[in-house]
Amino acid sequence: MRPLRARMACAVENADLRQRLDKALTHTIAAREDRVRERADWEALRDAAAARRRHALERLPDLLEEFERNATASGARVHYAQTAGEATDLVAGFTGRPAAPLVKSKSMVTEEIGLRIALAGAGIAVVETDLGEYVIQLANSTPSHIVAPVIHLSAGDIARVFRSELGLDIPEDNDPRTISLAARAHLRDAFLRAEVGMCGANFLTAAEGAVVVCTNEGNAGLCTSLPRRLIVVAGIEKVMPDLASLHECLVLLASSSTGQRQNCYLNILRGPRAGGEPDGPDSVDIVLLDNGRSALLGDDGLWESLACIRCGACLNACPVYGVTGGQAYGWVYPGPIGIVLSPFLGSPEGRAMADACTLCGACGDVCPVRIDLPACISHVRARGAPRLPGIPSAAAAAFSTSPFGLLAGLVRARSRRQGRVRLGPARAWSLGRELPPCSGVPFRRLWRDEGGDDE
Amino acid sequence: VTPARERILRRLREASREPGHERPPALSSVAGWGPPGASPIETFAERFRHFLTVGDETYGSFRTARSIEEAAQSAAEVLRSAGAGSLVAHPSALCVEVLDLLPETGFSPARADRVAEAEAALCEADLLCVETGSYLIRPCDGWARAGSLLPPVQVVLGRESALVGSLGEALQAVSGWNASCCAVISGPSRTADVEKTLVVPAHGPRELHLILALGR
Repeated sequence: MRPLRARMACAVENADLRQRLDKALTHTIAAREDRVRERADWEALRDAAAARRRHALERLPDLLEEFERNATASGARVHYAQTAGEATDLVAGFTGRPAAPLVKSKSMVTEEIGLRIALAGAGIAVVETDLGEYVIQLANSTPSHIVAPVIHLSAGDIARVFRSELGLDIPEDNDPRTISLAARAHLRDAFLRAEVGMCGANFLTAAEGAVVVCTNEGNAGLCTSLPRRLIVVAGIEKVMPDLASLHECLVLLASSSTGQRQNCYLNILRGPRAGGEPDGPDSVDIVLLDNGRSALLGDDGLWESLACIRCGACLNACPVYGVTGGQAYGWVYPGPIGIVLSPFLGSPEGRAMADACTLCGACGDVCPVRIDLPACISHVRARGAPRLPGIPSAAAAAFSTSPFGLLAGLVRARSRRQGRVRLGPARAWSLGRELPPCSGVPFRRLWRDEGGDDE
Repeated sequence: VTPARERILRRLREASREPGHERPPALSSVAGWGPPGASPIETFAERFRHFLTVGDETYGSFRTARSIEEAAQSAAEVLRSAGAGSLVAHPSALCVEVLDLLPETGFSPARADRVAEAEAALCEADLLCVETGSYLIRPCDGWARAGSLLPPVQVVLGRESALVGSLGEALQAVSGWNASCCAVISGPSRTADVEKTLVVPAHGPRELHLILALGR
């Protein structure tokens, strides 16, 4: 894989990608704003959801044990996995060798650990049933958004994938409705034949031992109803005290992710089917994954990021994501929340992703659970960029006379002539940015004129 | 007890945060939902219908029925207009009453295990949530989970007494149910994965019709 900077630069140059992102993000942002306007209690919802998620994280080990007790009492089996490898081994063991491919609904945690690909390596066929994820699977690609995996692709791109990989007869007008209905028809048989189903969890609830999954397509409902065996993979941070405590989070999740008043389907799962029920799984295995989350909980600057409900609103609001899309980040969680999670949850980029941020604060403004993402990103940056010997702090540099003062003078002079900064080492950085002209008066003079001192 | 479990829980306890956040109180109850002056039924109807409309198309309906005969008449109209010949039916008393009154229009109730072939489903909602315009349903002996997903046309009966105000209240009720699962359903299935164009249906039903039995 090429370096992060090269991938980002390449994405910025891709006019088609920018156009598709612009259309998709504009649509989603407008829909979310409609929801914000129609809920007079929007800020109260955010306050309550933020408090509920933090309340749960502060009691995480107790809630996990309570969840385990109650899920087990309902007949489910609960397992713990410290790493991606442990989770994959557990899932492969439960799955065995089914006669038909396992059907799976969209789950970011399974993307995080590369589960589908790992299972394929173990000889276990998996079919993604979310339309976007199915396209990603067929195209052998990676999702570009945690809610909308294929916003980087046009209808024509998707139709080509279906024609070439499935032989579907999709007319050349590439109508989104025709494409979507073709996928529905094609996947129906996979649902009906599957022996094993898999889903993630938007939330777990301790008091009921329940797994809560939200979808619009209805695919999670089918994955968890028709096959006789069900496997759930969930991050350990997903647990909440009880179902009632999900109220605000569920409203905010739908509104912040897709601008809906509510997701079409909330599936609340509590163990295998009861006697007499015509369908539903006979066995339910729930894998609770750590994969760096316990370390994140111990980080004083970043632990609140575990409150994330994966709505993707911070991606939609991020000006960097808006021009690069998600694949340029090179990891399953792109955008602001991805930057914060990356040092802990196994990103190959580690802290380097923090460079892909302007610290504009838009992500923090929209986060439904009030995660202070700009502060978190600053925290990642500060820890990832130890000061080099001989490089002064920003404050010291601002008030030094040389060489910073000389450099600042040159920038101002160049700015007066060209209208924007394009100077020396800042040239590459400034190519993708529109900056206002520099002030003709140095900050130091303004500061002193206002009575400030150099300390 | 596995080593992974013990290690994860130990790490979490070591990382444990000082409890600094109290559990917030539940949001307000039914009185707080909907425009001022609107009844819970009017508010539920507006929110339920909201999910049915995509562009110029409408994928279902909301009706009220003052008698069981009226409910059966509405169900028959829906099934006839959808061209549904076979249906799976929920075993609830309300569904059985309606089923018995369906006029001779060629409907043949299918067995619950034939849900994949059924052209329509007739079920009774356990709860109706005013805040979100959603209905809640759980499986039982004779009603498959997939009954709400596979048949393309869904006719849902709801009792007026099943109305609850907030989603939180609905979830509180689910907490007390001894059911292996519950679905909170808000409109027909949909996807917008292709260029953000909203398409109905995705994997679930294409039509959702709710008949509210008044006074029941």
